[in-house]
Amino acid sequence: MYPHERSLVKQLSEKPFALIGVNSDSDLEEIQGIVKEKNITWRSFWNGPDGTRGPISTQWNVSAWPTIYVMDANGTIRYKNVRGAKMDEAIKNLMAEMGQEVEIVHEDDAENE
Amino acid sequence: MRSVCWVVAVMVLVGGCGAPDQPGPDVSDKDAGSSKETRPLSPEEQFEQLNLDYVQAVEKAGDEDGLQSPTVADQYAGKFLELASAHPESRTAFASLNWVAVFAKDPALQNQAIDQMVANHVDNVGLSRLNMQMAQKPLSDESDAQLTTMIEKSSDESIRASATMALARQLSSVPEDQQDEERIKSLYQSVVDQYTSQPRMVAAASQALAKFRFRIGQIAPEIDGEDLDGQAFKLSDYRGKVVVLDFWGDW
Repeated sequence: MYPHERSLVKQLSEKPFALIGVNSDSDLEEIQGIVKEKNITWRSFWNGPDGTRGPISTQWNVSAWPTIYVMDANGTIRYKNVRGAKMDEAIKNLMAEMGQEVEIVHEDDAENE
Repeated sequence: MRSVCWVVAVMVLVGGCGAPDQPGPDVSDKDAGSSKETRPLSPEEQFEQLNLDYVQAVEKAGDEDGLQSPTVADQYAGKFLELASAHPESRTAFASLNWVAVFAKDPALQNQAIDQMVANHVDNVGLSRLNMQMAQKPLSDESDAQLTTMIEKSSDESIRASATMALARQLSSVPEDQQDEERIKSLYQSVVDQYTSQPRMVAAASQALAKFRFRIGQIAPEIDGEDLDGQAFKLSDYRGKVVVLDFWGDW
């Protein structure tokens, strides 16, 4: 998962695109360590000390992890739970709506996510 | 031992939903009474007897839970339906129909029983319990009609509320892009508006309504939070960009 996301963030760094996490680990210090260790390059909200029962995931009715929402530039929810190649496809479609043609090509380990 | 508990479970289940008016004959009487019965069994007694016969039949089939014996259950469903139609308005009829609704494996038999419960017993509070079960089942034309009739005809608020919830749940069980969203919403809304005497159902209905805000096509609600370094930011800071929001955890 991380390699695919890292690859997306890197490739689309010049584009109107953002990957935002909602981290649902209860131990903040531990997750700060993991972010460094695993080179997680994107920003995350913290769901708070209650972890998976925190306020953001509760409000968003998230009961399985990971859960993915994809919003267009207007903030409208357009896709849910797209992963790997389907996530790439969703991003390409929404970029195209903004007149941005993007190519998304992943290297080796990100390929098969 | 398990089958004994099972018998008790059946009794309790049925007992709560319009039990036979009198307790059935004591089992010990039966064991002792190898002499022939002289008087015909009352409907209540026939019900108890059918119950016991069923449990024995299932046991004989070597299947204490009855889960592997659909034909036995359906065969007895036929007998319970007969008993019900012999005394259609009685509490025994309701108990018999409820047995069929719960234990029959053939949906046609279940529907026949539920149709009769709705036609003749629409105010029997045992329907509230049945509705909790119906909520878990897939939508069908039959269940739609049965639940709709309960909502329209029952004078009991808990039955109307539970039927409304069950119908909304069934309508929600089809894939999201094929759902009748307006109908589902208006059913949940009617629970919130009309059935304040049923706080748990009102809470469940409002929760279900809230979920519609997170469907495809809706504007994503705001997230106003902090990042992992404690810095405040908002989801709406990213308007104008395509945003992938990823609920993740490292575990």
